[in-house]
Amino acid sequence: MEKHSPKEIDLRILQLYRNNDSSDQAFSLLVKTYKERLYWHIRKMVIDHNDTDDLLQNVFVKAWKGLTNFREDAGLYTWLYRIATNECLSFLTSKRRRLFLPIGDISDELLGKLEASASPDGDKINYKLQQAVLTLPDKQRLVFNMKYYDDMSYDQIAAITGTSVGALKASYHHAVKKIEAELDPH
Amino acid sequence: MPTKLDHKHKQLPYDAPYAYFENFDDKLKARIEAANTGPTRVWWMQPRWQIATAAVLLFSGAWFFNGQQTKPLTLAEISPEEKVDYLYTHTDTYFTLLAGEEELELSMENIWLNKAEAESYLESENLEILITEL
Repeated sequence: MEKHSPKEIDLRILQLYRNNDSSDQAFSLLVKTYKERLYWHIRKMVIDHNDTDDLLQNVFVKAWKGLTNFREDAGLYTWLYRIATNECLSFLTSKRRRLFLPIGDISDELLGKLEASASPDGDKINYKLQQAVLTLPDKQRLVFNMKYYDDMSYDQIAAITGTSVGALKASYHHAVKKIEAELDPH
Repeated sequence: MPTKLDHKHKQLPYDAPYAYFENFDDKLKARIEAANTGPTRVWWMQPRWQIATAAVLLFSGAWFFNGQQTKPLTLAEISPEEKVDYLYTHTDTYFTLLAGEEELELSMENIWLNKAEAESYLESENLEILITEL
């Protein structure tokens, strides 16, 4: 089966979209191509599946509305990731405000979600690591997830977050130190 | 229990529900169609009733929260960890500060750090050395 590069798939989506008769086809291809990656990106931030499902749908609705104005200087993947990232951060911020929580307390809520979501046969080490990751502030956790779990380069993360590579290196370095301290407090 | 992060432990401790991705497209399509169709208008959906309801809620909220405003925190009440976390999550602001921008103020909820206080704090935590080492 012929495999297409990410760039080829993006081009195909945009070509289909620009033709009124095939815009539905474009949307289907967009969703099929990116739904899983975006799901896990969001899920790692908000933990709960139902919240993730809701946000993922929001992302695609916004993407569909915004595709007309999509500038091809960044790939579709970067653009979608950016929308998803903003959805997560907005969601977490509004959750904090709704619950009148100060800066740190959202992690307790997310830890509760993690406990409820965890697979009973899952690896304990991976669970402990997730617990430690949830103690990070939202933006730092975001950077950590993209670097550690998604193996993204600093340049890719910079394109998504709009943050400098130097700042991202600092953020990730600090996140790793914090997590290691959480895993071994002694 | 390993304490150093390596790149082996990347499996997440939770799964997506069975057949979630297979069913997602149809669910999304239904949501978009519902949004495009729009609800049938009933009397309470008319703008004048919505505006009236919003006004009542706003006044009630203002009355309820008046006098329940939280006292602004002082810098001393925020732990060193929270301060460092704040600076690292607002990393662009931090680098701009190092670059010597004038009139820069950091905000942290109700706290305002002026440039001199922020620089003094960064010096005390040796954060500049940390960045240089990367």
